Amino acid sequence: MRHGTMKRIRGISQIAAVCLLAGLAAACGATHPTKYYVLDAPPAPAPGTQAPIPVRLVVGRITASHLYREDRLVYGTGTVQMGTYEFERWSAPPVDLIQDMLVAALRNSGQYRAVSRIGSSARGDYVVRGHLYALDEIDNKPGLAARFALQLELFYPSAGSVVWSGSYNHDEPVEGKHPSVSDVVQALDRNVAAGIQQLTSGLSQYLAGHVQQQSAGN
Amino acid sequence: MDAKKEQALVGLFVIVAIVLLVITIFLMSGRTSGGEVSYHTYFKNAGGLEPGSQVRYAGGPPVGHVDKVTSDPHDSTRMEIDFAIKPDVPVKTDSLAEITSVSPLGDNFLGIRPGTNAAPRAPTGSTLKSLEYTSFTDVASLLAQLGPSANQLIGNLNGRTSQLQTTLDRINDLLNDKNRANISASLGNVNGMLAEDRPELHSTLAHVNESSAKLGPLIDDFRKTSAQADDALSHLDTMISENRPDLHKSIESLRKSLASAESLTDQLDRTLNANSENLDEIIDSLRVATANLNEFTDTIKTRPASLLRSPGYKPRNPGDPPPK
Repeated sequence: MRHGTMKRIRGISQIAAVCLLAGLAAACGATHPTKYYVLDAPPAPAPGTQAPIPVRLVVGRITASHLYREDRLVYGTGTVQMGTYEFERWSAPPVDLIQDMLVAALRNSGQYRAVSRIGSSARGDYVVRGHLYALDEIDNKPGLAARFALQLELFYPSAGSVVWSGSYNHDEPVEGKHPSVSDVVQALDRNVAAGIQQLTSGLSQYLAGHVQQQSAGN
Repeated sequence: MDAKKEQALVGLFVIVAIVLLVITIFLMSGRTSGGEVSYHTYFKNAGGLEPGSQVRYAGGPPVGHVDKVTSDPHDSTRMEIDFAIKPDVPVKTDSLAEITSVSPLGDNFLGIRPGTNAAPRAPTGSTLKSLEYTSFTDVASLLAQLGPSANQLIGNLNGRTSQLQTTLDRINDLLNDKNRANISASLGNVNGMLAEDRPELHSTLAHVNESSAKLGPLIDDFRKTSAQADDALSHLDTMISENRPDLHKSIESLRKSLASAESLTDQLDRTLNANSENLDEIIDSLRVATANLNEFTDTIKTRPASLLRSPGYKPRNPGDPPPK
């Protein structure tokens, strides 16, 4: 009886060892390398001759679907289906990339007294906040497109209301017969640069006119 | 009768007639009574008096005469009048001399106004006080000076008369038949209203009377309350006085506690300011950690075998169909 029990335990141990070795062998297979991509900041515009608008802007966090709060590149097939690349990733979540580009664009414009990212010590007259609707590859036959859709709004804390809003939605064609992910990211980069340029120009026009009206009223 | 006797009789008759004439003249001029009393007085204007002018006492019959009218050698602006009166005339030291006349057309005489009974008799040769004489020329001059003022007064009077006339016209206009009818109707309405509201007015006055009656007790209560409040304040004051050292200690202690709290708040504020960036970073890290945990949980749920082996994803190229 004692001899039989020992024999059974030894058999189970042998089976477990074999399974473990098989699992390790499967796990130690060659893995595909992960590639990371970035979005370039928009080029700095030529400094204007006008005096800066006397307001301080705080750029808040960009809200988005959880797909854009992760670092995987997103693609869309058909009209309703979306997926993510496993080995092609952004250097940071798209919402953070877009926030960084907004801060850089507003600062480089030189049109405002101060531009800062939202934080515990940030103080400002207006809060720029937005929602990212799309930053993905669209697989439409016959070609591919890079879609960027963003809505921005200007929140005035003193009045507790949104005083301006603007949106951008554009599909930028991806160049090349057999485009790679890099081609898609370049198209996305162009699209994002154009969109941010358009939205910040609208914001600047509103603030300039509004501040001028306030000065005339006083 | 011989001629010499006849001439002597005629001469004697003439002498007797002359003596009688002289006596008559003296009697008529009043200079015959001996022992007259002399006085002096002064006037700015002698009023036509001359030696021999009458002197009357209290407007009565003549009692003396003016002896001399000359300018005062010491004051050339006034005239000195010397006069004499009968010694029985009661001239007192406060008697006054004046130049007057019995009628507007009569001659001026020197009048003497009686003095008071208590005053002593004026001694002989004394100077009596005088009332200045106002001649007709002075009156005419005064009237001439009053002329412009009188004209102005008449002008003002005319103006006021015009205004009065205008006012009367307006009053007449206000009190025309139509307005009188309106006023009469209004008075009728007021009478009607008063008659109609008399009970309400009576009731309101009764309420006011009741309220006034209640005010008295209320004021009494208020006085009592005020007295009690005074008493309470007095007790409070006594208590504060008794516990002043303890109160002082408590306030000192409270002040120190407040200072400590302020210092603590400052330190906390500085700490928060100094570490705000770190706090932001911690919150951001928590966000990333939460996202990773979500992904890990999702992976465990959907592909638990990935804990032991690679899921075997195939790299995707743009445009590839989605994996089945």
